[in-house]
Amino acid sequence: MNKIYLDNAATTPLSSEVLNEMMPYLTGDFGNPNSLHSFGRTAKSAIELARERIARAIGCEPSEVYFTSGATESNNWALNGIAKANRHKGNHIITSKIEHPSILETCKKLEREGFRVTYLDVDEMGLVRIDQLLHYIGADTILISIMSANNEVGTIQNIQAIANIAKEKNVIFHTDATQAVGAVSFSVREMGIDAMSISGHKLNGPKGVGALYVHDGVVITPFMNGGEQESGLRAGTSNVPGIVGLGKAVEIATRDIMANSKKVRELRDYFIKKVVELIPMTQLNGHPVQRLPNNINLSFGMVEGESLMYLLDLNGIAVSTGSACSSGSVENSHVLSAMGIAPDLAQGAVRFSLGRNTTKQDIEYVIEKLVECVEKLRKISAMSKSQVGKEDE
Amino acid sequence: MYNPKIMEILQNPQNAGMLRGANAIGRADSDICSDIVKFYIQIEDGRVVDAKFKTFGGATLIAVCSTTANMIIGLTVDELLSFNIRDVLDELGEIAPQKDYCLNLSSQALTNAVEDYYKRLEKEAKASKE
Repeated sequence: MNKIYLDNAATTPLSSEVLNEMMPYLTGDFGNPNSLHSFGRTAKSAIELARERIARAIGCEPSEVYFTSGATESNNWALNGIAKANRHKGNHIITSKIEHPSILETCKKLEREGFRVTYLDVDEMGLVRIDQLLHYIGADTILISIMSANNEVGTIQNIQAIANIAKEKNVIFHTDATQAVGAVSFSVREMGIDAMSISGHKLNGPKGVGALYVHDGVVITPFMNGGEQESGLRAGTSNVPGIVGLGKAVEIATRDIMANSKKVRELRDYFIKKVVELIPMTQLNGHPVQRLPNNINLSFGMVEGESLMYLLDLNGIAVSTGSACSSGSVENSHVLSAMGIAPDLAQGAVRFSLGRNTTKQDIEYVIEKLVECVEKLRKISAMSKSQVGKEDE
Repeated sequence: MYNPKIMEILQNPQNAGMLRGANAIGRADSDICSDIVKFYIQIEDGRVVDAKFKTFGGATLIAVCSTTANMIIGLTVDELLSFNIRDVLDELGEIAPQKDYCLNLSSQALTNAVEDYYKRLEKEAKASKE
């Protein structure tokens, strides 16, 4: 059976180019970068090279790049660290309702600690309501955190516009760029982005490593204490192979951004066109154009997402679903809910996220199996056509 | 929790679809999500001769419904009334605790089907008196 992986928004395979770069630091060059001898110095140079590569890729200074264990840590650190270090200026934070849980949960924690947080609405395509941002931003606002692109529906935010507003109002602007690096070109300094979270494993890099860019002059409290690593802000022996891999992965992703985006976008558009043609009652969730080149989020009327996901899995196709029903609660996607998608269509939403290695042949196979699986589930569906998308009426 | 039996049923559910001769039809809707279960049961001479289901729900719900429909064929109406939905697990194996609601939903749809059957009997009886 063919095995086709279309869950690249969850994680990506490690590229061989990245692995080759990492290998020496997993074997012979195992030194602790804080050691003064040659083993240590070799590891230290490797880390600094990775820092330079990331700085070059996103348009900042190497000294503005801090390594972390991944984007979740970067997001936690950015929000906690910036909010607490700037509390004397105000206690208001603005974010959106469709952020990753690592942002939303940190905001809730900050609220318990006395900060005031405004969660901006999004429109039906997943775009953050800029009018609300302008309305809620005030003299006590110290931080705005809006993701660059959404992990579920792929909508790319108007980051430049948000950065401009933040700059004009003298508010620090952080963006979670976990899904966007490699798909969207960043020049953080030029764009006026003050802090940005990056993940390794979404870019064909290793898991367990990420970075936080913090603009010079933005004050942030340390994330971990007890060591001089990362300028004393993030203590702990550095994950040298991971950092080397991250540096290489970011370099490759930005180097190949045009070619990769073009190839993946063509496959995405072909997939959407064919599926909408072949499967009636198919709805594309997210922005039709302003979306990540590899993201396809579809709801198929009368079809539940989890059963479709498993049925595709039985055909060797890996996709993901954002919502599932469980005892006592419904684990509905907060993103689809915020976009106003009807509960049955939200529960039916399936995300297909393509990767650099996805081929036209893969897509043809997935379309063929998808048609079969949707038909199979519709035959046994207890939902009628007239009920689709109207559950709350 | 991954249960291969559930996956096997998902791929080839038994007793799925409508049943034309059904005289006991029951539906249950989840009050927490969009899940729906519908049973179509045909009862002749006080015994279930055929049963089918339709559902909007995940793999576990499909497997629970399919197994339930299979198990109730041949039962008398009294046996159907006292059918213990947890017996489905003897056939299906363990299900994830968060999927326990699938049993309740299935059970509710069965209860509603039996109610529907008695309502029909009552209606028939009234019609024959008139």
